[in-house]
Amino acid sequence: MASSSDESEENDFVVIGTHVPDLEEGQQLKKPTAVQDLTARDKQGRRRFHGAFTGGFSAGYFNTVGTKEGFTPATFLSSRSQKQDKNENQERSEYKPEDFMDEEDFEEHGIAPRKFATVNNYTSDERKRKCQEEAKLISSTSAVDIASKLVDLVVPEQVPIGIKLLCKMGWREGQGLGPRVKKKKPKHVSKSSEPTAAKIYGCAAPPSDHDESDSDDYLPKDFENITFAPKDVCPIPLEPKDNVHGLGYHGLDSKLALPGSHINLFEAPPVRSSKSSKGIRGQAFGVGAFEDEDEDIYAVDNMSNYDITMKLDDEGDNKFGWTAPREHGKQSVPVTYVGKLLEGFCLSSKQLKPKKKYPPPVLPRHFRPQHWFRKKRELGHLPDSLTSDDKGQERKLTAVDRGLMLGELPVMGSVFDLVQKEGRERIEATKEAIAMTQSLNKKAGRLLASRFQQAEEPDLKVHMINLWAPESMLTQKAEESKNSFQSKFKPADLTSIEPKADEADTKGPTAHVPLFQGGLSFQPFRKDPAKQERYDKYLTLVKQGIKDAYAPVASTLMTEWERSREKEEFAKAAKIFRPMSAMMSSRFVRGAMIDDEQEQGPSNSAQSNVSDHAKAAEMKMFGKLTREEFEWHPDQLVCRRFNVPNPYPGSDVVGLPKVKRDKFSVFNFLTFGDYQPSETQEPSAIKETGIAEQEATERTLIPKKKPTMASVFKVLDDPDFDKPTYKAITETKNPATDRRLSESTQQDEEQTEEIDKTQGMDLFRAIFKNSDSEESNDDTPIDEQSKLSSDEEYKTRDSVGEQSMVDNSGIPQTKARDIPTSPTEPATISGNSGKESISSINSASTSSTPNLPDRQRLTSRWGKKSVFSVLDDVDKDSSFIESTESTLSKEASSRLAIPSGTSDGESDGEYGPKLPATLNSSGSQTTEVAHSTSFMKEQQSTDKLKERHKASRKHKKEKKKKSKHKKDKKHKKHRKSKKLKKERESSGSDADTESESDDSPVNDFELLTRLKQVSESGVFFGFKKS
Amino acid sequence: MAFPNKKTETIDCKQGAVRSVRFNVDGNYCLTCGSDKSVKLWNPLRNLLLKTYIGHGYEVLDAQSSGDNAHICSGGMDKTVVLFDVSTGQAVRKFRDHAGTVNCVSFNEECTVILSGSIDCTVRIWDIRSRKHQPIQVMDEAKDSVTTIQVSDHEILTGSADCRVRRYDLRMGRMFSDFVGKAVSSLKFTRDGQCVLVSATDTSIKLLDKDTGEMLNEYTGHKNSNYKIDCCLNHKDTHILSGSEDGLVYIWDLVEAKLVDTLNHETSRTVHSITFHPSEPVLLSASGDKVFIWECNQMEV
Repeated sequence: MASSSDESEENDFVVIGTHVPDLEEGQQLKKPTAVQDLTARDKQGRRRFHGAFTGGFSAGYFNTVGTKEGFTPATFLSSRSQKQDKNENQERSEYKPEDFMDEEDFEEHGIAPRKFATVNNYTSDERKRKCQEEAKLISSTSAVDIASKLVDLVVPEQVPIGIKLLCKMGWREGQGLGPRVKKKKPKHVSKSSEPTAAKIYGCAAPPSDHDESDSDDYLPKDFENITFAPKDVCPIPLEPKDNVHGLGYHGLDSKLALPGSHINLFEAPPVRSSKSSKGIRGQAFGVGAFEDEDEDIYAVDNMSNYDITMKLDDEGDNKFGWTAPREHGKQSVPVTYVGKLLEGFCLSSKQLKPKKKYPPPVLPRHFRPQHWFRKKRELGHLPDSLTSDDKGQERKLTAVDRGLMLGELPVMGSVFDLVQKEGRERIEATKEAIAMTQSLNKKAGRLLASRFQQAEEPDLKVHMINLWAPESMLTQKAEESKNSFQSKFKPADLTSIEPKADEADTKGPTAHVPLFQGGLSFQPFRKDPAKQERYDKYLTLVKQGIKDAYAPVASTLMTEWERSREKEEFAKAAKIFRPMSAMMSSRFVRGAMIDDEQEQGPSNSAQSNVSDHAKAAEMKMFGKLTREEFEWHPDQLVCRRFNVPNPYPGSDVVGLPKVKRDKFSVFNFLTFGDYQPSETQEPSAIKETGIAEQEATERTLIPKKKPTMASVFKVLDDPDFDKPTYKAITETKNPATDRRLSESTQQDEEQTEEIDKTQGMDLFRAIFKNSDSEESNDDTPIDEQSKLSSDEEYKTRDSVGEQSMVDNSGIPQTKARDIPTSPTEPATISGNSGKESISSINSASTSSTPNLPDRQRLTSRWGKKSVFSVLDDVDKDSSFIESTESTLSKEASSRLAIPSGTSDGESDGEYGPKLPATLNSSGSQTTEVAHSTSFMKEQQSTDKLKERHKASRKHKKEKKKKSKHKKDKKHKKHRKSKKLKKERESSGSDADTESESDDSPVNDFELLTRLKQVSESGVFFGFKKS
Repeated sequence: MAFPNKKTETIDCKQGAVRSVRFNVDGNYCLTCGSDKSVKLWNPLRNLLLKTYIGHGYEVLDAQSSGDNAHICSGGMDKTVVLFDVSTGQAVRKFRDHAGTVNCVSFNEECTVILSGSIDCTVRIWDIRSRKHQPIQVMDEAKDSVTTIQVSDHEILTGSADCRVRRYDLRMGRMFSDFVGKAVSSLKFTRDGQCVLVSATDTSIKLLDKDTGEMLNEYTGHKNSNYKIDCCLNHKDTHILSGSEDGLVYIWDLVEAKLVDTLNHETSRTVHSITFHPSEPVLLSASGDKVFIWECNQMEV
């Protein structure tokens, strides 16, 4: 340095530090690295995440501790307010420095890394070995036993006591058991050494064993006196075969089956010899050391890269993992043996004895492989009497029968034996209660009787005996209401009374009748013990099947009239009073029917109509008879798609509006019993209603109509009730009228009879219909109109039908012919005049009744009469009873808009359009078609067709009119045939059944008014008798 | 001549038994439904197979092409109703809700819905325009298998094996049911829409007045006791044609109800499906695996 300074002046001064490089032009000064750019790096140069302890102030937000706002020291927290947060605080305070350290921090601070290790209890050499074995197994087989692993984790190792003992005795794991042995010098060593007794120079190699790998066996020769523990012998695992697999089956070998197992990542890629020979290939700039060589897309592909041959895999890989018995090359398999030998098996030298074969039995020649059921079994469901004629002893034995045959005492006599003692006591108590109430009822009945002075009326009380609710026994009031109730609702099927019930009836009220026998003592005539006695006798006789059951019972003291009256009463009573079950059932049905009122039509008619339809279709009478019409609601969307306005806007219903009632309800099978046509009389209680009717008749001066249904309203047809009306009519002394009446009555009766047979009508429907008619009758303006129209009618009829009537008086056959003619006339007339109004309908109904002027006179006279006088006239003239009754009923039916066979034909043309289509002309259709011969019909339809085709553009209605005219003409023609009456009957029944499907709309109000009337009438009746 | 009387062509459909043959709307093409699960579109006059529509899982029993010839609907024994696109031949929609074999299918006039009648006693209405898979309405009034269906602009006419012809009037919102005595096998509206031609299995075809249900005429002579045999009217509504179980097609005069002619198929097999050209006297009939084309050899006067 000194020399250099000496050498030149310039180099005089001392240079300290490094030379700052000269600034080049254009080069910007380097910015000093900002704080945020400073990064912490670890010793490997990697960017380091700061630990709290090593990072120091370089950690955190831009190498500051804390946030953007700076370091926020922990604030004091009052322990008082934060007591609940104690845990949290504790946690915070319990943070240890280690929690913020990473691996390197541990390293630097000499903190030993902590690991989770298995506790001793859970480890042992044996377990480790097991683990290893399992690992091996996993690699070899597919079965991975996770369960055992989990068990190992959970269940601590328990060293068995045996092992513990062994350990104490000096045994170590891995050693065999037994006394220590001296290692024998292996024989082969000497053998092998002998032939190779060559001179060895230098270091001798350790004497090798036959098995080189078994290094344990190597023994220095001089250690002869050392004893060794015996070798640990692995016991042969004898696994019981607890599955149903075939021998040698292992299931799917995952190693072979899974494609992943095929991939050998470490397999050396095949050496391409061509590559080396051709020198540098590939990309122009060579491939870097760390780059993969790109696929040489232009290289000529060598076929050697492909598998050319299809060979069977020796490894059994062709089975794709399925373990099948492998071939074993070592086994010498005889040529005759087909198949593969199982692992570990060899063919036995001895051949098995062939199994003895049993050939199948030879089938008989006529054997057919089909089972034929014997006749007997087929008819098994039929009663024995039908199937087994001579094998009477084969009848089925009941348990009791068998018991008796074996000499056992019958286990139980009745259901009561099953009842526990308490229950029996209760029953007794109930019976007593019943007896008491009965006596009470008697009193009450008397009281009632005295109040209403019902001398003749049978007591209509039914005792509802309810075992489970004896406290609900009828109170007086309840009975009273019931009384009126019953008079209104006549119970249905009386023929179906159980014999037991009858039995109960025959016994007196005090008779010891078990409750369970359905023993409901119905005592309609309890007020009059003598009468009741007669009634009981009568019932027994009826039960015995004696035809004229009343005759032996009748008391001699009574007059003929009384007798006949009582007879009728009894007959009625026997029918009315039924066991409670029937009562209940009728009740429930009634309830259901109220709900169903609207919808019952289609469902109800389904059964009856099917046959009618079939009949009609058979007779090729298509049209009204085969047609049904329902309201149908299309879906809103369907309408839109069809471009049709929704016929029922806002309706939620889709499809046919149906009743929601379960199809298999018991109530569907309950029917009201039919009336036997022979019995037309009512108990006088029901006459109450009759009186009501009669009153109404008086008021309106028009005879009441009666429905022709088999229902309560049959009751209303009671001749007793109707007598006054007839009386009044007879006074007119119009022979033609009388005759006509009686004729129509006959017809109508036949009609009703038919209905009775076919129909079990429900009460409410009938009521509704009747109430309808009544209300319409009460309208006086309509009546007046009807009078007018009927006047007109009368005139027309006079001109047409009078002649024949007069001529044929007294000859029933001709009468029958004439009757229909006259009604048709007014029908056509009014049809022509085009008057189609309610009044005309009314007139139509009245038209069936005879000469109106007479009637008017009559009714006006009649109107002055009081109820009592009318009733006094009862039975004076019985010949007209039925006639007027049926006339009335006929009218009623026509007014009810339900076409009966007879009335309909008359009224067809007249009020057709006013009525629902189905009802309107079905009757006429029926009669017409019934009469017309097939030829006629064909002719007609052909005509019609021709018409249609010729004048296809003509308006439809015109056509209809024409056809209607035709029909009318036809009517006239056909009615002259003598068969008329008969055919009418048949067709009438058809029409009626159809008509029942129709519902007249009824509301509750009408029902109520109806009920009121009936009850009122009952009171009137009582007064009258007084 | 208003009815065909000469067999001009026989098409071997090569699709198993031909379950039904149907003209399209204008009568230029026809569809055949085969028992090999396919529907084939033909030009019958040129004997040319145009396309085969595959998509059914079982025998196809009925098909109809839409008014714009863009779609084909078909129903079959796989209980599905399939809507095919005519040009691509792909099944556009499959409606599976029927519980049984679909006997008959029909578009409405606007081809916005498909109506299908099935052995499960229901008629289901499927909306093509929505993506819903459920029918928009199920008409389950029938008590037995619905065998045939016919749709007019506002009426749906169904015939079922419970011997009833049901007519649903959408405008009136009413359903009319006519009892015809025997299981209905085929139904057709007349072209004036006033009458309904009903063929039942009692060997008679009836012409019923639509409004009253009265029988206007009856045509007998053919045999129909076991199979669902089609009947139809000719293009002018002057004659009535029906297949028969004796290998003939019977032709009656509509008004006279006289048997005018029979078309002999020279086979004893049932001629079960027939379809009449909408405007010309051309009849297609199917028997066995063949479709026969019948034309009129006389010029119309």
